[in-house]
Amino acid sequence: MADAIEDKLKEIEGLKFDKELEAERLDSTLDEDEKRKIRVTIFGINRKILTARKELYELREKNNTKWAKIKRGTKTGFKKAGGAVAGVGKATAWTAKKSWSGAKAVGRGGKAVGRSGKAAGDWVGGNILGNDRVKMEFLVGLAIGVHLIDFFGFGFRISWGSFFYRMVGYLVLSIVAYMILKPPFGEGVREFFIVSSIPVFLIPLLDQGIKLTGIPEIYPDTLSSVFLALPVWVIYLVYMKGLNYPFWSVWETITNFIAPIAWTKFYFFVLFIAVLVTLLSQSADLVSANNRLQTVGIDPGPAVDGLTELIHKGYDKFMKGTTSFFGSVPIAYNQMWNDSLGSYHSGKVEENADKTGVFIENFKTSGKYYEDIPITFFPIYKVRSFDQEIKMKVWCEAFDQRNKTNIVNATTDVDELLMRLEDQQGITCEFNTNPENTLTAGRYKVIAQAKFTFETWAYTNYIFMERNFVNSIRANGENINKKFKIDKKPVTIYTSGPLMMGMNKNVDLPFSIDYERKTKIPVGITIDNLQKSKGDLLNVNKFELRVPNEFKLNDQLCTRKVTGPVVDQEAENYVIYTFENPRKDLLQSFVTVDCSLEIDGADAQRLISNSGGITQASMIGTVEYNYLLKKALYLNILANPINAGGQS
Amino acid sequence: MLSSCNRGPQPLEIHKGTEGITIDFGENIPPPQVYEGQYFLILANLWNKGAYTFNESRGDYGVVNIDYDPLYFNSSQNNQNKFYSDIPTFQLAGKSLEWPNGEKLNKEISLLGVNNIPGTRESPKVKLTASACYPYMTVLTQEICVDVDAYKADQNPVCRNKGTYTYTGGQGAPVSITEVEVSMIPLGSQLLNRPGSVADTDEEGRLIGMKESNENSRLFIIQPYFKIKIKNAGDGLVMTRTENIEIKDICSPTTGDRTFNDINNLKIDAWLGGTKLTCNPNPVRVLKDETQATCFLPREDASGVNRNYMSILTVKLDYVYRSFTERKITILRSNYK
Repeated sequence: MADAIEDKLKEIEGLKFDKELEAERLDSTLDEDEKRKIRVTIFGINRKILTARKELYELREKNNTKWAKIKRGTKTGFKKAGGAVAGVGKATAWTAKKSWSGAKAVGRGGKAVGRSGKAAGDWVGGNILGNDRVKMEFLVGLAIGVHLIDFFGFGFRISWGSFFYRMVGYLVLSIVAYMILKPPFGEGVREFFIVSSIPVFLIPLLDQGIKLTGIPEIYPDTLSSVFLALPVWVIYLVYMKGLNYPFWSVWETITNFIAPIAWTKFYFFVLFIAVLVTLLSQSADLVSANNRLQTVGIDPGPAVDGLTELIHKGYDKFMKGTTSFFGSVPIAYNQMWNDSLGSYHSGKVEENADKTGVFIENFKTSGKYYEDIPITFFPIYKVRSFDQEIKMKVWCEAFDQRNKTNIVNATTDVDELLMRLEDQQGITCEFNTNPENTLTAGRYKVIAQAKFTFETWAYTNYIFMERNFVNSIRANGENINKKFKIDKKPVTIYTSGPLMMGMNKNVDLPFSIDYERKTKIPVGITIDNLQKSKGDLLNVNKFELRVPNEFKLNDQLCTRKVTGPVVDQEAENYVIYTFENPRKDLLQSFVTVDCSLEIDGADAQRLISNSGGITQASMIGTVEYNYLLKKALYLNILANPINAGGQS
Repeated sequence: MLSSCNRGPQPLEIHKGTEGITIDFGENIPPPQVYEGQYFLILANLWNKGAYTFNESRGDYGVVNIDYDPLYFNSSQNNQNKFYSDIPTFQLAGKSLEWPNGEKLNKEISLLGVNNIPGTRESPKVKLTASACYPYMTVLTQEICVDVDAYKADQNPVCRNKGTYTYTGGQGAPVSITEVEVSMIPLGSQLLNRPGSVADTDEEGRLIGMKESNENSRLFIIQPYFKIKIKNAGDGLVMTRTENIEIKDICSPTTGDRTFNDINNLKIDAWLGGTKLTCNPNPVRVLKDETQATCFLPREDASGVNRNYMSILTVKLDYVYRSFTERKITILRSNYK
């Protein structure tokens, strides 16, 4: 086997020598025909070299060589280390250039780390085998994981809330990379890897920069998709061989073991196709809309649309599953962060087989849309609730993306729906059926909307025990939570809907209450519109706290004006305290109310004696509010082909 | 041939194990899912897996408590119709020839009603906790060597002090004695120059009495010390058995008239042969599930003996124990599903 490898290396060297000879023949004295022939010969030699390299790779794979480093000739583009890394930038820029010029910044980012990459280039020409391959697979997997968490969890945001967690993620990755990418992976490789984290971390700024061009106004979703599909860390790792070659070379390289790890090829192939199709579909619309080009023959639009839809469906499923998994990580971190501020109370949403709330579905484009030809959308409004009868106003609007003040209202068959329990109703939103709802050629953001009143309830279960007894147990070193099978902290469960409602859980359970004197219990509620992208919290109608009637709210110790108590008609032995509704301008952020509940000795004794001594009691926060739910799509209105044909 | 495979009945190990009375909910009683407005029965399976049998003359009985969130459940039917007593009680026999596995009891505790779910929550999962609180006793008997030969003068003694005895399997009670460290403290000796009483032992060295001896012999006076290590081997809580307080009051997780020291203590008594030992401290407080006490023969009871002999150490721990069980119940909306 070693002889075969040696022979193959010699064959490659020979081919390179042939290539150099042919290249030397190229001089200005030759006529164009001869030059062309020589170039064809060089092209053929290049192909042979590539084939030989593939064979060499396979031989080394078979031989399970621990470290395979193909010595490439100094005149081949592969060996140019700086080019290799700059190529990453260039290649990224190349990808981006096809979609937006603003993405050149990525290319600059890649070039910026080119110097470190020069040294890396000595290594990047090779294929990784043996133990190093396992290490690299681990690093690539970790890089993909960090990238996906960053995207799904934080949306690459640089905000004070997410900065720390993103930093930690990339720091861990950098440390692992530093440990793994030591020689013989190549001098300077790890420095390159770590320095190249800067453009990744600054993706949000890139996003902002591109937005200045106005392009993202048209392609916000595509922008996100591409950012998702560009796990730059991973690309740096996998494509270190460089992409500073013509397209054929890139493609050939991708499909022929440019990825040193076999399975990454599949990953990038899928992402490449997904991004390409998305870009194609969006670009086709852009060109048609802006230049009013008319196509003759096969219209690629529907074909691309069909493929796009197929990919979108798979993508949606993937997103749902992945978001729920990765989403829980930052949510948990954010809860910890917010809780540590002391003014934000969090909770866990109730797990339902189907979520309660109001939803807009079936609101999507299909095929091409032309001006003067009626356009109809059929959004379906779905409701899942229990006690509530939900009355909602529904309508559709189109926002002209060139002129934001131009808003066109769709004609709808109904403007109000009344639903309860598990119900759904479709409406029709029509454009281009009368002068008031006409959409001229251009790009529009169409929004289906619903304004309704909704309630969110949050439930926190506390355990109360007599103070002296608890202290006695604790003083004896006993773990009272373990002995009495009691959770350490209360858990708040809030009902699924547009708002998050959390309650104070910064108390230890069991909460000890005194028979002799008054006991104070901190209680707090936070409401927050966590899904701001899906809708707006318009105003709060009712903001209440329900407590067992043994407890009294000290209105002097509340951060919001409070009235009550009144007897609860819904829960036996409960009373309701009502807080002053928060002002509208405060609803853009979260709203918290903190109070002190009190229970005096006699009531404490009554509360505990009514149970076996380990007294459970729930506190309930409720909020009733008006909410504006929105679902948007982007629409290209093309010039009417008949009118356009007539004009030509 | 067949009979050779028959090992015959295994001897009943009564004082073995680390469980006392266990409590579990009945299978599907209460059910894992209930509907709003429904009533359901709470059944507790009580099983005395230990060695102690309740003694009515001591006023022994156990109580069962149930805890639930009144937001979701109510016991109004109980209160109106008095189906069940407010504090259900029980008495159970421990393992014996009559009850080789201990006595079991299926106790109907309560009938609970399910309240309507307030608000928009779909199906709350709520916890129901039941506890059994009962008096119990741990008894250890150990044959030990009363080794009076402090000078190792006897070339052929009946027995020698083994020093430490360890126990891993428990004594058929939730509180176990895990180790007994035996020390024989010499207090002196006296030469008997005249015929007198000397220890009389059987063939195995057990003291069977005193006998007259015509030989001159040396009598040794020793004071046996026993360091007894105790562990709460169950997952419940040890509470103090106080003579003048009713079990139901002891079992209430409130201090009531009790003081801080009355909560986690157990009473210890020990005998060497027929002589009661002094234990210190007594009662002994259980700290982090473990404690230890020292029991010794009072000096005034230590008499001179001329040679080693075997005797029986008996240790009794007296306490109240509380074990728990829980079940998560899902409440379903009757107007929805």
